Amino acid sequence: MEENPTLDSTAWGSSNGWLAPREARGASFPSAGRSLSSVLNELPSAATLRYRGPGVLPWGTPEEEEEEDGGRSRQAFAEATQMELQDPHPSRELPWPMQARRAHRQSHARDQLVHGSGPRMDQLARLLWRSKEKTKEGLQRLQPWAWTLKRIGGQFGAGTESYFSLLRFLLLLNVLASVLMACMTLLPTWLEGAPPGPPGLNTSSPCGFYDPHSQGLVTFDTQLFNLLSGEGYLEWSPLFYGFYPPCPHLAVTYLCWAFAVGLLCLLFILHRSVSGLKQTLLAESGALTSYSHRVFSAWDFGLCGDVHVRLRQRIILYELQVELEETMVRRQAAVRTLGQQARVWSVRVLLNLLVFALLGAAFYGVYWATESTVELQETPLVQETPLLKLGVNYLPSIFIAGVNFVLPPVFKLIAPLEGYTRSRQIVLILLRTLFLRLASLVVLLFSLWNQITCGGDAEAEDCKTCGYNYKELPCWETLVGQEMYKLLLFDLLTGLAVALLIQFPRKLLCGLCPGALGRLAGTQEFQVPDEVLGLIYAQTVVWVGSFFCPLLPLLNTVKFLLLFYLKKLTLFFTCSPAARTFRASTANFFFPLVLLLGLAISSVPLLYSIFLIPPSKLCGPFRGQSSIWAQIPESISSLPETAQNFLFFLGTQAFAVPLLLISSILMAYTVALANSYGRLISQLKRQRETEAQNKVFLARRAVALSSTNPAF
Amino acid sequence: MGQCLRYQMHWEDLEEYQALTFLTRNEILCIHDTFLKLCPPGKHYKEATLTMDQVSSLPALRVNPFRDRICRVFSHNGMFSFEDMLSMASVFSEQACPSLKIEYAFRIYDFNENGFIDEEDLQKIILRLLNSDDTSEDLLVDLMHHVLRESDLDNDNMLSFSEFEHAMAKSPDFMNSFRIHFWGC
Repeated sequence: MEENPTLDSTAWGSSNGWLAPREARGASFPSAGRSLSSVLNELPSAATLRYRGPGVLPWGTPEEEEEEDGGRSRQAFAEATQMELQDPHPSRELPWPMQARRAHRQSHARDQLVHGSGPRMDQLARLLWRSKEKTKEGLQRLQPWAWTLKRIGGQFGAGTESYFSLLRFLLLLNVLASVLMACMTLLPTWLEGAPPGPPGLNTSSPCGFYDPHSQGLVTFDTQLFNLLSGEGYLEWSPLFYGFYPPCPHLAVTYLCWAFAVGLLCLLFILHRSVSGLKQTLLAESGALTSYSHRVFSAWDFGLCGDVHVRLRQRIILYELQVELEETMVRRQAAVRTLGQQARVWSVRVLLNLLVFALLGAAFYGVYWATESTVELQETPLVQETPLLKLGVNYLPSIFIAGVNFVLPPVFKLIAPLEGYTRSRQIVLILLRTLFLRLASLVVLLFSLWNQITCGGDAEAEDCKTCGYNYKELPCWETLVGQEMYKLLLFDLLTGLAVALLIQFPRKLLCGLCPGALGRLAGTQEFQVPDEVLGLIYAQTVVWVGSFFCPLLPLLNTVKFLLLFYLKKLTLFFTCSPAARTFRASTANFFFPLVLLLGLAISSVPLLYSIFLIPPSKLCGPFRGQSSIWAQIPESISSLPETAQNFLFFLGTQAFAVPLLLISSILMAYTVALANSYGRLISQLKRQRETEAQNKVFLARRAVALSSTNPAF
Repeated sequence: MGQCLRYQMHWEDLEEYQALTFLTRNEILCIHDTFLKLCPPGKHYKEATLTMDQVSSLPALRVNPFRDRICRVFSHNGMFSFEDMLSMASVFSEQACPSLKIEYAFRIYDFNENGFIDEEDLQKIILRLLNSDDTSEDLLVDLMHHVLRESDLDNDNMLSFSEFEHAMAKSPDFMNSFRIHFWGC
């Protein structure tokens, strides 16, 4: 049966005034033949458009054609299409009206009943799939603040939502770490009776004395000072490492807790980044289809506030203009002469040198601040004024916060001068800010290490007797814990201060200012990348410090809870959506990756302390050992023979070398597989283009033939 | 305005809707509530219909530049039944499969309903997105030219369904942006 005249070019030609006249369109033959588009519409790939369910017109037919015979032949045509479509899909995936899906489901169920339910494997697979769906739904319902996150996404876009989602994820990690801590360190501590008090002045040992409790009457401001800097009564408390008694069981569980938390965090972050990775890898060669993506996925359908629509449209216009501009810049860069290139590159080198100089100055400042804290504290002026004493104590934190506050805007100013495209500039700024934040923490840790181990020189005067600088730092682990505690507190205080003293007043006051100036100064944006880097920095601090300050994850949980509500309030009250949206897919991949980097960085000082620095002789669960790790081999020797042999075997070369070999082989195999898949993809792409050309050629031939031979 | 007869949804109906759509139980009940608030008085929810204007004015769709297209694609004979609303919510839900979303996105973006997204459609899409009367002609032509160059594989100056599907399947943000959470409750 052949085509009916209702689907020919005349009907379409009249409604599509915009069809560009092309020779193959057949529009110049009004009475005969079909157009190219009608032929292309009959292809199997457009089957779902043609058959939209029983009783529904195929997509693309004008609805005025209601003649009797036209209707009947269209029905036949539609049914023919239905035969083409195989339906192995579950009913809800079919793009049909509800009634059609219901009928399909019922007929499917009837078929199953008639032919007997399928093989056991099918049933089992279906059951497994159903239960997986139910558990996924259940877990989703358990997640707190789901409605808040959706509201934020609806008003401010998916980028801002991803910040709060990351905050919720980090909260979960901290809660898990705190729970593990309660079970593995707090519980064993009190299980064997109340832990002993501090050693005090009476104990004589070659490694000096340690007296954390200050004597006499403690004034109120000293109490406050102690609270803020972790000294005094807080120093010998479950908050810090020094408090825990030297029982062997506690030592083992303490160490295991540190490793368990690290492993757990690693697994969770990997799990989170894998889904983001899948999405981003799928967008292979994103530069090649960016315009289509921007046009078709530009509007976030989830937006539902009246307030920000106009802004949203401006953002889309801005993004499209930026995209076009970038194409132009890229085209310009491709035709640059040698002289121009040399100029551009020399400017870039100069600016990079400037950036390095600024970073170097910042790091030196942090290093100096940490080194001189101890000396400054000895001066009589500082001893007398408690405020100054607090300030000197917090000097490293103040320096780090100051550097993190001042330098990123400078980077933002420098980046446009380098002549890169806008998106590259954003990436560069982000990388530099990230480096600044994490490296300033590393510099702080380095200067602490310098103090503790006398610059790594085991033969130095101060470190010879005990392996660490026992005169100045009788309990060095507690010192490290205190520094991290101070960083955490200061971070929270600056967050509160910025919100209360800068953002709210700016919104309130500038709302009262008239005209454009008021609007300009009053519109604040939620800068997603900066905020996320702040979060990751805070979490890295906690990871570094949790071995030396076991209650730190608990404190961080409280801090992140406060932060969530504070940021939410600030967002809804003072911010409008950011002009440069951060795409959600990049966010989901990039942020967990940076989190992994933070975890990796935090593991270095931890592993170094565990294996290489002798623990303090006067405090902590590892006092008297040669190294913190030394507890483990001792406790292994108390295990039964077979377990010992097994564990020792794991450490021998006979196990490590084959493991390494097998891992390398697997990795090489995976890389080779990925390469061959990549080659297959490009081959298939080329084949697809050729097939598309074949298709068009054949369709045009069909149109030409049908126009010359009306019998078709 | 006024409310439909307040019938509680039967448990079997709820189960069936859960099997036939991608919506969760809470979402279905939420849409049920919204529907009851809007439909004409005195009718059972299964027989009542809403006009396209009523659906267009839901908070979820009110600011959407493509709301008239959405209503046209999902309605039957210009009216929305409860099941039409469920189908619409199912396509826009978070759990919907990509093929379904791409299918309906294509129908929504095909303004002149000829089965292809041609230059006229693209122009309308871009104008709706920007919604400013002073978009320069150059910008429009440039954008259309770029989009067609990227995604039109058979050089017929239009995007067929398979070309659109190919382009969107690679877009990591398509699934995220083609999503509606709330339906007015």
